[in-house]
Amino acid sequence: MEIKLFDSELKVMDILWKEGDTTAKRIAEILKEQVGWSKTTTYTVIKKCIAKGAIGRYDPDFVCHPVVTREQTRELETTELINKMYDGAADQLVASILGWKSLSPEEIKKLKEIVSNLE
Amino acid sequence: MEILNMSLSASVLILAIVIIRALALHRIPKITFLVLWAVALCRLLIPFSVTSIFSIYTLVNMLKTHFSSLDTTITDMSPINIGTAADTINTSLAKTASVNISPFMVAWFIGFSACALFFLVTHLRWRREYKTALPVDNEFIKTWQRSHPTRRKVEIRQSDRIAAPLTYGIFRSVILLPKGTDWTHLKHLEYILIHEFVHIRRFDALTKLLLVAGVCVHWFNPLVWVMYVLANRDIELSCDEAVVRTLGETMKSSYALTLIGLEERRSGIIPLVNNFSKNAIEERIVSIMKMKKNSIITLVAAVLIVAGATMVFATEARSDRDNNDTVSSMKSPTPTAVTTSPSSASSTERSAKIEVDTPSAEPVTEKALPEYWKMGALNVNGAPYLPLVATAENLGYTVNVVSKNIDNPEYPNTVEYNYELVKDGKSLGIASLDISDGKVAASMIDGIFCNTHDQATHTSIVLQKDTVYMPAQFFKEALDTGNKLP
Repeated sequence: MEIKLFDSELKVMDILWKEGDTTAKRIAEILKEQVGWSKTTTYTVIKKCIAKGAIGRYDPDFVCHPVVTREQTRELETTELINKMYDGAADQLVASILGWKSLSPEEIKKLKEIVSNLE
Repeated sequence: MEILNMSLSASVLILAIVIIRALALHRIPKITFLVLWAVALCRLLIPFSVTSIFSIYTLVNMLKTHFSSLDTTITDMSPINIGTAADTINTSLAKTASVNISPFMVAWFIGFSACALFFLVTHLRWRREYKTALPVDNEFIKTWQRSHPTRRKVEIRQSDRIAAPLTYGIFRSVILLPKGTDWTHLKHLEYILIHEFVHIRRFDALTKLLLVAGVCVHWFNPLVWVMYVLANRDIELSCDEAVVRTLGETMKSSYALTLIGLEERRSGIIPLVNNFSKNAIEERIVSIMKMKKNSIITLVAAVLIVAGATMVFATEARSDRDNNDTVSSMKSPTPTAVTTSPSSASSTERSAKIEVDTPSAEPVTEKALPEYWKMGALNVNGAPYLPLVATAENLGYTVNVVSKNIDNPEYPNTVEYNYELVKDGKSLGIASLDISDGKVAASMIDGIFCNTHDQATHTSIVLQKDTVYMPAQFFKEALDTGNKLP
């Protein structure tokens, strides 16, 4: 299932991914503080997420539950990027990142581990 | 119809502005056109008129007096067919009252509602989307905003739902920047911010709202739509002009390039770029590149154009007694033959007048006129017509409908009404009214109720909302003796 999320929707998902199940009221409070949204604006965005199937809600108190995980969303966005910019070749994306982003020795070590695990 | 008149007179002005705009767009300051559009908008939205001897309508009137036959043609083209209206009365007197809202009004209202709804729904939908924008975390923008304080609160936010920068909100403005903005290109950012700040300072959001109001009210007038499109463009052109003036003329090509860059991005996201917006952006770029420092001459020209166009096209002819009639007949096709009442404006549509002969109704005494209006008189060319039944009752008579003959085989298609007037238990006479084929065939009033017995058979009667009105002079005797009038 592919769910494309806009920035505003990702902002709501961010909270759910970080804090787990949260009431809509609480989300509104957090976002009012963070980005200055009114309660109605936050509820609008939550409703959009529910309609897209990214959030599940259950009563009482309109508790929101993240249906899609951060990994799924990242995967979707990355696949889109690879297809769009790297002709579907994931290694080219990795090469490109390694080319311009200087990584710390620790990060390099972690990457090596991931690669060896895959092998 | 007031709106039709306003639309018509504003159309002349709009046409003039469109022509001036085509001729002088790149020659005079753009604000000139905004002022002219504002005048047109006032004409469209505010029902008032200013008179001037230089008005184009003075010329029209002068021509008209030369070809006075034109007047009659216009009067003849009255939207209300007296014959038809009388037919309705003939079928049923009582029904006349229910047919009172003209189909034009209904059509206008439907169009107005549809337009208003369309703009409102679109606006609210977008606004809900804009509200979900996120704050911008950019040092340059923060510093820039601190160094450009505004009286109203201005927020700068970013959104991934828009393709080009925009500003919304009249009193609490929000500048929205697309997420794809090149945040490192500071010059670029600065141009965008200056541009949007000019919009905010000038209350352009409010102007656009008023333009929408104009279009909604005058939805049937294509020229008003032309004005809507052109005025919106001129708001941008004038804003660009202000930006270039702030930046200095040497920066104008750099600013124009920024605009082109924005436009490219926009068309990259929305594939359906219509020709129209392409024209608009072309016009913007050309107008920026052609911008010159305002010389005294261009400023004087601008002032003269505004003053001249306003004076000639936005005013009514000076209301001389002679040409006042012609102006009103030209402006409104309402014929004088239709009865008007001071109490309700739409009564023109409701009432129908049946004339048997030229009315001999002169005002009784000038002084008494206000009293007649108080009594609910109808104004027929300045002469009072009083409701027959109500006035008689007011004078102490009891009015009985003696008979109402509809299907008298002797007189086909004729309706006859007979009112008996009784005072102190004694019958004082009968008022009789015959309507045949939609025309009053005879109307007679007997007895002392009215002693202008002879004239009564050849008089005019006005039917409005199934009430019979007779010239007040027929009540004169009774009114005078009863000391009802000063």
